[in-house]
Amino acid sequence: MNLFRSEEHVKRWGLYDPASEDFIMAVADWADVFSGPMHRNRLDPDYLERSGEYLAEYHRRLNERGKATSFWMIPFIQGLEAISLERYRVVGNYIRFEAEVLNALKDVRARIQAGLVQPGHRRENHLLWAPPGSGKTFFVQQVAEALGPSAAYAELNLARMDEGGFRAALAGWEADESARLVLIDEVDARSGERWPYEALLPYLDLGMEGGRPLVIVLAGSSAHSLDEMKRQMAERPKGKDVLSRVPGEHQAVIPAMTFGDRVLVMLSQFRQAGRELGREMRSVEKMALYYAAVNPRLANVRQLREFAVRAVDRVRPGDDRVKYDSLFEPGDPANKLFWLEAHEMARALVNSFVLVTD
Amino acid sequence: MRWLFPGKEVQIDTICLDCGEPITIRMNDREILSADPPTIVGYITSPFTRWREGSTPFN
Repeated sequence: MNLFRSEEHVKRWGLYDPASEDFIMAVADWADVFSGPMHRNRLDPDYLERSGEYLAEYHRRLNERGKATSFWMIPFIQGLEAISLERYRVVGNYIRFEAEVLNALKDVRARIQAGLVQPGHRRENHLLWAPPGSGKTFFVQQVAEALGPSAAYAELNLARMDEGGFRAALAGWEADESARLVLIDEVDARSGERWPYEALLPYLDLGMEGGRPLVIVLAGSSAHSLDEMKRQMAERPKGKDVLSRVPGEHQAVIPAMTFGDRVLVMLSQFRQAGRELGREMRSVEKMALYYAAVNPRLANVRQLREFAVRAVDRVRPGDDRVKYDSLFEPGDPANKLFWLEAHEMARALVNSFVLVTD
Repeated sequence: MRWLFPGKEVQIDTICLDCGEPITIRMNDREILSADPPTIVGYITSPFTRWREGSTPFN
């Protein structure tokens, strides 16, 4: 286990491998994963007899955090028959597997949209906390896209901007009173500096002036929870003032991507890649889905997307199925290597297909 | 850590592999009592998919 002061430090490290981005977790999450009976009970006399049960608990904890352990993937993928992506759609191309998460995020989307469509003399500021990689930026971007030309969209990332750039960007839309959705991303960055919240504060009150249709979404990933991020923000200069301008019902958490989410994203990417190449992909071989879902080199949506485009491009003309062999160039040693490792354990996934519709 | 020191408060003092600045964690079993800085993350370069699943209990 390598420890770093933050995710940003991991990604600056000379030995960081982007393919293993998925394996960065908050230290509290690691503590929980390693606190199960597999690690806790090592000195127990019946440890070996119960190791199978302990191993299952260990994988369950990883699975809860969206980590792709093949232990859970096989029965999960085997049980899939037909997937309608519409059922899982929060907004646009942002999809989530678990019903509870799906509906909670639909509520967030509705509240954001209502602030633009039915502005009142009130602040329409929101605060989102999400662990790294859960797609919070993409979620807000998709909300903006769904609004279409009825509202302008602006995105300011505090971690990537200096004071001058940030103030200039804020001032740029101050005079324009048309409907606007603004994402202040990494709102928890630059914790040692005064200017971010000092500059931002006056703009959080603009919605009070004459029912101006302005929604500002503050989003961050630091700490281990929404409450902890708020605590840290409150300790910063003007932090309490910023937080006091976000109504309680406008504070939400976007949970980490789970295993089911990765599968959905992969299916969605195959469909989308097909459309872009003028082909309709109707089904995906379960073994192909398994490979994609457990592949550590496909750790984010951009990598999944490039992978899907290349795979669909290899599908034979007239075929509407993405098969396991479509994933590889002829002679690719990765194909043989994975097949040797997995085909015994995952044989039920070969020549079995998931039907997928939009 | 907790199988070695069950029920005990443990303090880890180390440095960030990127910048060399200090990292301090106090924990008791699964509970993180304090983390300085609070943004600490752990990183493993070996993917979960290769963690010898289902083999020995000491993986």
